[in-house]
Amino acid sequence: MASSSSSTAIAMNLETVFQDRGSPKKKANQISLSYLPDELIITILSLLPTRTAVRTSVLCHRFQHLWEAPPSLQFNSKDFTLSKIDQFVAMIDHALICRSPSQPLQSLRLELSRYQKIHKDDSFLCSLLVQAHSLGLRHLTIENLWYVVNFLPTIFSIDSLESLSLPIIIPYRFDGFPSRFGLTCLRSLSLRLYLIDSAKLHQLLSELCSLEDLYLHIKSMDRFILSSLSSQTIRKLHLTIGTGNPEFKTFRLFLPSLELFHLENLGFLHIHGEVPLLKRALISLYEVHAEDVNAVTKMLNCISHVEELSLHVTEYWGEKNPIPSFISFKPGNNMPIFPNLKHLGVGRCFHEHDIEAVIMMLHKCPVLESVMLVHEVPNFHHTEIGMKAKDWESKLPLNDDGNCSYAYCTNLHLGENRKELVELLRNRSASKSSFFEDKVESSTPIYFEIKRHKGLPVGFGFCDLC
Amino acid sequence: MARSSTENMITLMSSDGEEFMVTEKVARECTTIRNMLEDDCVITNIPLPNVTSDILSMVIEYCMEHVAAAEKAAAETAEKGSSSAPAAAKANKDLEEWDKAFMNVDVYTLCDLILAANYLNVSGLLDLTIQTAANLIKGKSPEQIRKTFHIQNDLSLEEEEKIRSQTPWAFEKSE
Repeated sequence: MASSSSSTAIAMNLETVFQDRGSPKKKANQISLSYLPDELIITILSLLPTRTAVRTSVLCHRFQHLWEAPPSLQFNSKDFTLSKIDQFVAMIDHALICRSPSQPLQSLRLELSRYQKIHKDDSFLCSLLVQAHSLGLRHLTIENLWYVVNFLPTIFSIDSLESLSLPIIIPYRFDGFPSRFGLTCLRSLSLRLYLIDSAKLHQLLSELCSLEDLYLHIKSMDRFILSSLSSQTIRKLHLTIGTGNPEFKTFRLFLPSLELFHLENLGFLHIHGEVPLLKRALISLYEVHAEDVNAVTKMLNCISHVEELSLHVTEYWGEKNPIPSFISFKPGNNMPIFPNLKHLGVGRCFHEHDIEAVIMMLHKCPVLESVMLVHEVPNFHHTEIGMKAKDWESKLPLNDDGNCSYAYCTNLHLGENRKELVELLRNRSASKSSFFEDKVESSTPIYFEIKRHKGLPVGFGFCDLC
Repeated sequence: MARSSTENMITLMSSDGEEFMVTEKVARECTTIRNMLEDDCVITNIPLPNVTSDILSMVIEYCMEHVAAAEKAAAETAEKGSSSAPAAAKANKDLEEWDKAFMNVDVYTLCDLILAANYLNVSGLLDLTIQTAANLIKGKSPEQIRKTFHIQNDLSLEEEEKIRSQTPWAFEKSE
């Protein structure tokens, strides 16, 4: 390492360090893990599954007891074979039950893949949860415990909890569902529902007076019907509905504090309600039939005041053609105005009518700044239903990459840019491709940022849901 | 380090007497230094007796990269009136890639960086280095962990056996 006392030599110093990087240094005062202060080692260990953290107890004297008090514990029964499940119990016993009350526990993660098959008795898990409660547990995640319902009264009494993630099956007439909930600090709740009495869910939500984030994954609407959601405090909602019930078509939201709405759903559900503070919406609709387009338009009406909208529409696999358009834009269908919309993203199998729908939306968005359009061919194979590949071809304008898979335009608040984009799209919708190509060569001021990709993930970055 | 002269420059001095001139903005990434500057706003020369020059230059490199990324995002916001979410997502991803490449160091450097990030209170760098260290431990046997981190085993065979027998479930091979 060249030593220089010149105060302007940093650039050179950095260079020298880069050259050194990667090659083990030969220095007398090398420090390694065991020289770090206890609290830093404990922080490192708390990022590890408990079983792995415990292995460090035999590294050297220094490490012998460091694993015993990390602020977070992660137990995974997958590490143990069926015959050795008693060791899993011994691990929890040693690491949690024997923990002194002076060592608070912030977070606990339990993954119980095979556990349920051997343990008839719930008392062990109950005492585990009671102990976690006495240690001031703030974050609890339980995975794969199909009979978690037996522990709900215990879990719902841990009043220190701030976040909770559970898989749940609640039998329709389940008497053990607690009538009171102590979760007054709970800010984040994630539930996967298989069966639930919707009245119980309503009661739960009405009692969670600090709840801000809610993730609800409803596996199937076949066995129970949830027709509305209401909460005064929820700011972020992520709603996923696995399979729908065609008998049941409306879903009402009453969420006066909601700012971010992420929906993954089948297209036919009519979603409406009151979400006055909503700023961002990420809507993914699957298996959309041509006749569902009206429902999509109606939903957009109810969230038309958003600032960011990402809309992803995929047709039903049995559709003979791409559905006519992702929104209905016939006169009389009340296409909404989006007075605040700044960023619009649309993921679609784009064809002429979709392009017209986009143009239509541009006219309804007075403050729009950016548009991202992504062409997505549905997963099913078009030949299976007698289609030609041509029918699923993108009708998006040609981008800088020389293809039509993706178009991203910014600075649309400048009138001339917007006009130019509309013109590009309009030419495309009328299939005047030769004219359109001339326009591109004349180097438009519109910035097309194009990435090569195989279908973007849902939402393609318009909303971060962390 | 050509910077506009209007920016306040701060000199950081490493334990081995090397001086590093950085903008105040970069220095402020270190909460420890930010607190010093807030207590005494005319201070321009800060000795850091706990950080060697090679580690300090890396910490500065990290702070510079993160300040530059934040400045770029702010400039884009100013230019367009509001942030463009897709561009921001891409910038975040680029910075993550940069962090990942930055963590390609030997374990001695990594541990030095953990100590420096802790001492200077650079929370982003501390999270990054701590997670990197945890990843190096994951999936390894005690012997492999010792080898990775050059840890001298000062336990006798009997002692080690005794510790293992207290938590036998941790040392069983998972199938």
